[in-house]
Amino acid sequence: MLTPALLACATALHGSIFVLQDPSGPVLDDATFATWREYLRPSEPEMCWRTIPWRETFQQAVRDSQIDGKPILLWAMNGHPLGCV
Amino acid sequence: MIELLEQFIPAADEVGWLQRGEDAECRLFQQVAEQGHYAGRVKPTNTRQGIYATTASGIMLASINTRSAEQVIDMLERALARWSELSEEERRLDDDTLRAVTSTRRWEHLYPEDGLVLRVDSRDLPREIDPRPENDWRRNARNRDLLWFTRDEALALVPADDTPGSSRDWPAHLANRVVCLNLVDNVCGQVPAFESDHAQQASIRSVVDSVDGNVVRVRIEGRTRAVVAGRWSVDGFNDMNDPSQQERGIETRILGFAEFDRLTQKFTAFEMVAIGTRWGATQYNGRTDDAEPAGIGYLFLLAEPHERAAPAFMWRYGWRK
Repeated sequence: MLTPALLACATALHGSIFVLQDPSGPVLDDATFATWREYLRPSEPEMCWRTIPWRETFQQAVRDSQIDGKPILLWAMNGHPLGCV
Repeated sequence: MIELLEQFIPAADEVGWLQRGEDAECRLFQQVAEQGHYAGRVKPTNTRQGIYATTASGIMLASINTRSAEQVIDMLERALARWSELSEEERRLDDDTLRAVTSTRRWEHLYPEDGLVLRVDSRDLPREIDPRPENDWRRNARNRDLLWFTRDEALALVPADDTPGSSRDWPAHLANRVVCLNLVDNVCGQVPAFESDHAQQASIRSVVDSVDGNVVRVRIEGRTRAVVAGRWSVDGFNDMNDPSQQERGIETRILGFAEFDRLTQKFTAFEMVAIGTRWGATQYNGRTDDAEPAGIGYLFLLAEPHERAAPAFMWRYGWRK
């Protein structure tokens, strides 16, 4: 994964990503697209919590609890935990 | 932890609706929550956020609100011990209530099976000077949301003419959906969406790059800007009764590449990046001490089939449950 440290090193070497060709912000073009994509993409360790078979709604868990005979573990947050929190 | 979790039905859900709603599913959650760690709480807020272990019948087994894995493990073990004390009859919900709970209409039921579903990951861009402490969790924060399009809306993102160079501006209401609902500063916490009249620029277009059989490759380009000024709190509970004059905004440039299959009428590939500047803070978005202009980025990718949680601001789509 492209960490901030690696990105800073790449910048020092290539000097392109943070060069303000456009004074309104960082450079996003065909040459930098892949770099930004990988910087923004979550790493596998950051996403390991998604390997748990979460049901997206409480009602699904209630239904499956009745079927499987297991207790429910509900993670309830302001903002859906599987989306924006 | 994983071995313990396998003994449960794991679920995640949005607590705000569950704790305020009046239908059967919400009432069942409220029954559970009022046996838990925040039972009866009204100050500083009435939140019922947390992790709850419960029977389907609404008997709370254990609950906690923590980021500590050790405390969660302890909670799970206590829950299983309590579960073992209950009879099967005590654990189960009666048929009528079960029917009522599982028939509640949810935004998730509107998942566009034949449309376009994107997940949107947000993150701060690297910067030379970060005003936050070195070990501050916000330095590595990320957030994620979903973005839905119906089949017809997805079709409207693709030029009608396959000739390379042909272009199509995204319909205004769809570009606004992206600008107002997804290009928001949620990296470190929840943030209100922008209203439509906050969008000063919402220009996104698709351009045909090439065609290969049934597959049209498009390039996506855009510029966005949304700004709002007003009075609101920016420091959690500390200034919740003392709002002050504020301004917040986001401006981005967009670049993306996608592939659309004319035969199946679906996108088979989609990668879009939005890079730009954010400024300002809101009550819960963790920018109290970091409101000066700084870089922010978003990555839009095709969601996995199992990623079916509704977008954060689903009620702004105008879709009916």
